[in-house]
Amino acid sequence: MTIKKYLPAAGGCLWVFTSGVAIAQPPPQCSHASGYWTDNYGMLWSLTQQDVYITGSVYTNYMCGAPIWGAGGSAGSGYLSLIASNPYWGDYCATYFTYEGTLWRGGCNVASGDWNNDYGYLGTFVMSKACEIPPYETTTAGGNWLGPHYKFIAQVSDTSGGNLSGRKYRETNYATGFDRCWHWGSPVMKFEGITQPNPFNLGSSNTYTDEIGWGTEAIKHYRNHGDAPCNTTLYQQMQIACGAEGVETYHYVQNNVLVAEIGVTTLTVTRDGVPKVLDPYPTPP
Amino acid sequence: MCTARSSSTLLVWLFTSLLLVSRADGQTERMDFSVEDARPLGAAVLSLLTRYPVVITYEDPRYQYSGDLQDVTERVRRNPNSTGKGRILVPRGGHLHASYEIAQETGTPVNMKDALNGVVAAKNLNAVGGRFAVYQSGDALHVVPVEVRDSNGAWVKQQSVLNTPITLSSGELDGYALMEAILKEVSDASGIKLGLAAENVTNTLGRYRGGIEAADEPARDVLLRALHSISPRLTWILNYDPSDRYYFFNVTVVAEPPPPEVPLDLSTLPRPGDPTPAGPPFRAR
Repeated sequence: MTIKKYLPAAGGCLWVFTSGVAIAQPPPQCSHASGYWTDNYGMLWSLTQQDVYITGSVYTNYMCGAPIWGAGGSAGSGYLSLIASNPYWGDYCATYFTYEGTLWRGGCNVASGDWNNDYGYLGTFVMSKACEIPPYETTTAGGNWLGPHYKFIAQVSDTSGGNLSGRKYRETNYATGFDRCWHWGSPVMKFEGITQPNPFNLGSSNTYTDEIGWGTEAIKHYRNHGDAPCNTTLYQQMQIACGAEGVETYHYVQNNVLVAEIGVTTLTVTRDGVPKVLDPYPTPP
Repeated sequence: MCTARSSSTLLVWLFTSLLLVSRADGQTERMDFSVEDARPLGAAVLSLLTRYPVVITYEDPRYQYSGDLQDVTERVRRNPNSTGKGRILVPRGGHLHASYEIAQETGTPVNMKDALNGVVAAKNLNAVGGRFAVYQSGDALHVVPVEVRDSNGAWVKQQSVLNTPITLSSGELDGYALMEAILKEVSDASGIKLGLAAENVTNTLGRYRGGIEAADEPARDVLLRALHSISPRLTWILNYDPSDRYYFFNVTVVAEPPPPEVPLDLSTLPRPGDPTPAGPPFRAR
């Protein structure tokens, strides 16, 4: 039997370039392991994390003297370290075993690595837990203008009491927008949606920035052609990943209506009902 | 803000794309393709690159002949008493009909370059709006102007502005500033202004940090390298504004490639009888 699984194209070979210099910051890692996990040996883990420290238990699913063992360990910066202790010493089961592995970016709900026990056995493990999907996000009043763009700050809700560091997040469109600045033959393409070929990873603060607005050339063009005031309305859907990076799937978090207006002398950008006005914004030379 | 244009006018003017499929033989089908636009070839390219995961770039000619242009000032200017200055000229454009062969199994063109050559050949049958050719560099296909009518209506050769060799060392910049720096270099070297319009990918450009170096290299190669260091799915539609006589470098995104099929690694799954972390042999369930 052949089991097929799909990996998205990373397009890695296309990233190679000869004389350019790409400087990439490492994306944030997963750092939170609270929850109920199941591993490839059928064992069920119940873990709670405070800072980097983990406490909990594991149901071993084997005919040991005690099926439920105590568990402890730590997690952070993409690693997971667990130790399970047999409370019933003297049975034919191991006294303890350890898991050392990686929390996979993307959904941060998959971990894998190596185990060993005091019998001297060793092997590999894969474990997963239900994916936490934030119920909403909030556009905050903070942020700043970057030229004609406003950088909104959004706070993603967190239901696990930990953080969403390492979770992949992306924006897409839930409907086609309406660009009221565009006219027949305009050299500026219609601005009626956002496209994000590169999803990003949330950090431990559960916040991210969303830069929205017209560019200077479009502002100049539409003002000089007598089109201002005019605006575009965009229908943005924020989605979060579940599963290991490379095989992740995306799930709905929230829809946001975005509006970017070119005024005669001002700019206005609105995200999820939070308006920001730049007054005045002179037409660029 | 759309009141200056009646909906009936819009209906006539709106870009329309009609795709009809007809069976040719057991393995391939003909795809009929029809557009009505001020830049019909540009619209066709945009339709292809958003449908298929192939990097195609498009570049307008620098229109000179009045027969290639139309004055739409009265029809599109929304606010006649605003700051708008000068007449609004746009390409005359028109209708483009072409067809190409697609593979039944994949639903994609049998040969994308042949398909694109067919579309360009169909466009070149119509004198309005210049003549074009298709060039290939690596995996990218470039639709560039090669001939245009001069102010007297005589055909003259026209060099692509992106053939211009440029030299620069940008240092580390965000993606937006990086693209602006390259376009400024092209503008300075060619004497033809190119402005950036990248509203739909603001976050993708804004989250990137990197630089580019080029020594006497065609601008097209430098731009493609820079964009693909940000994302291999980025490309451009270079539209000429006949009113202000400069180019808008519209950054856009090609379709997402289908995920490659890879076999799932089953080597980490325990087999019955294998030792388990807790000690007893693994039991199949």
